[in-house]
Amino acid sequence: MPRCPNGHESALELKCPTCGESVLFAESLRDLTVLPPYQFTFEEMAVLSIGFPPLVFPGSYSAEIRVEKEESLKAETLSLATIEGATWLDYKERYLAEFQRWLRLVSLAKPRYRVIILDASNPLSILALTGLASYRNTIVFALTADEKSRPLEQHTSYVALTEAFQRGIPLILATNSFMEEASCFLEHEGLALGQQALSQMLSFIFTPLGELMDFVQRDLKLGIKAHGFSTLIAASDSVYRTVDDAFLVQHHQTSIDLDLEKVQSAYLIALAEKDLETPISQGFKRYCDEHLVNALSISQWLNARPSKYRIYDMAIVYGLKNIDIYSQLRKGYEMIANQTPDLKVDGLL
Amino acid sequence: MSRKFKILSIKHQDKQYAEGFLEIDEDINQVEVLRHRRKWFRESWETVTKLNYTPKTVMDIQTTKISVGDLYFSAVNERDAAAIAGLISKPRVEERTRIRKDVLTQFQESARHFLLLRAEALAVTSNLRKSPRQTVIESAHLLSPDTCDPIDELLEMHLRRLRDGLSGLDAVSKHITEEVKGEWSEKLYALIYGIGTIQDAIFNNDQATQEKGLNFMSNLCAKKLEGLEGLSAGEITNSLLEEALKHISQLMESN
Repeated sequence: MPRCPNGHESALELKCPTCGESVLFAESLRDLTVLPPYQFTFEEMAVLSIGFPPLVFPGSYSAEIRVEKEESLKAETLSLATIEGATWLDYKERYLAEFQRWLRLVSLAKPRYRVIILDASNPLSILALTGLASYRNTIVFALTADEKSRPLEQHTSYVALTEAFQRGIPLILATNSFMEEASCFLEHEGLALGQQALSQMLSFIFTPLGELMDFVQRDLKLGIKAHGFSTLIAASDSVYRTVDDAFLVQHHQTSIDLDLEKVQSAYLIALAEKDLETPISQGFKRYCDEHLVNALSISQWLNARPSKYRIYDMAIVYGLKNIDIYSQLRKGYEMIANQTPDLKVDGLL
Repeated sequence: MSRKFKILSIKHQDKQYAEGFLEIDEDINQVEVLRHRRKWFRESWETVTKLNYTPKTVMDIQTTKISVGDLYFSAVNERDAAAIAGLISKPRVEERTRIRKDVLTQFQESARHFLLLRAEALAVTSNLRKSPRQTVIESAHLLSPDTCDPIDELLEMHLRRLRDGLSGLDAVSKHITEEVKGEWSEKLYALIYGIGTIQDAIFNNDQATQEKGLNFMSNLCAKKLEGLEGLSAGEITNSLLEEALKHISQLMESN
């Protein structure tokens, strides 16, 4: 604030209103080298997709890494130029520094939560997992190859999962076969199949992201790094008769093969009419008591949602210490790694 | 063009002459002092001295008595004395006018540079508030390859440029203080401060302060400043600076 020689502050006057002396503006110009106070706010959630259509959540930041003819940097997309005949190792070696710089430029670390959605058979998936600077409040959903996939896809998926396990990033998994067979019915929208159905399931599972993060972070401390899930979208008593039957049906639709006796934790996510909350909650407890006999923890998130046809959505996220799919993928991994030693997981970290 | 004046009591070095003529050649900035000489029946004019006057020539004038270097003389009247003094001091006045103009031009450029840097810094900050990622990506070429916090780095870069801009202005300000009366130099600083205040008000979307700033600038320019709606902060900065400097320069010239 400018002052007169007698020290009286005077905002925009040539003469001091108090003493009439000239206001000394020259000495106040230094004030102009400071910018007015400002505050930058970031979204609560960031979603980064690799080899999977970007999922958009209300109020979230959604970005994608993909391969295109030419490289380009945008706020929502990092396009990397195709490397002919490349494996995950080529992309990682060529683009790791650029990817990490882009992550810093788009401030991926600033939102409170991060969800990485990736196709683990995509060669960019390892680049993405290696490039993340921080895994705090981060969940990775990985679509993995399975027994029906080609060895190269199995190999890349195995490396991606190994990378995630070694870095201690919580994983939620689904196999390619699960996605191909996925279907769900959406109230007002109709039938969704395959990738579209899986996108709907993921959108539902990540709705209570803070609570889900709390669940997977606690699991991580218990040594539970991998999760499968099942969903029933647009379920109703007219289809499943009782909530208990609905729980029995969902465990035949899990995203990875899992033995219920090996499940270490379970988390129920449900959206239903207010009066259905208690039956669903009680049904979940009965289901866990009966089938998840070795679970260390179970928790749930239920939220009321009005529905004209009393339709409810529910998902269970299952925590596992070991997953069969990882051992199955190893066969494909070894087939490739034995022929090409560079493509081994040994030097990942 | 040359002009001739009758002069009296001429003293040059250790010689004195009762009267003579002073011829001033404005084309070559030269003064020639001639004395009247009579020998037998012949009369002639003899050069006492010739001197070239420059902007650095020291001249003193007291009523009709004038001294230029080691030449002393009296004009026949005060009007002639003023005319002689005016002609001899012309290069000095022109030189001072040129210097003042140069200093003002330099000041104008430094002030414009500083204020436009400020408008740019505020525009970047405003864009960062609205769309931080897009703004950072657009400025990515300015950031270091290993930047850890691009927003901080970008803002720090602009603040550094702003401080450098003020240092440039400070350097010119020393000459302003020498060449321009205190009252005018304070007005020049006031206009920078006024424009800075309006820039802040635009950034904060503070209509009241913007209005207050415009009134202050209107007082400085002695005319109502309007029609700034729809202009960018940079355009407003340029427009206000032009108006205010034009007015202050005119006032300084007339004084």
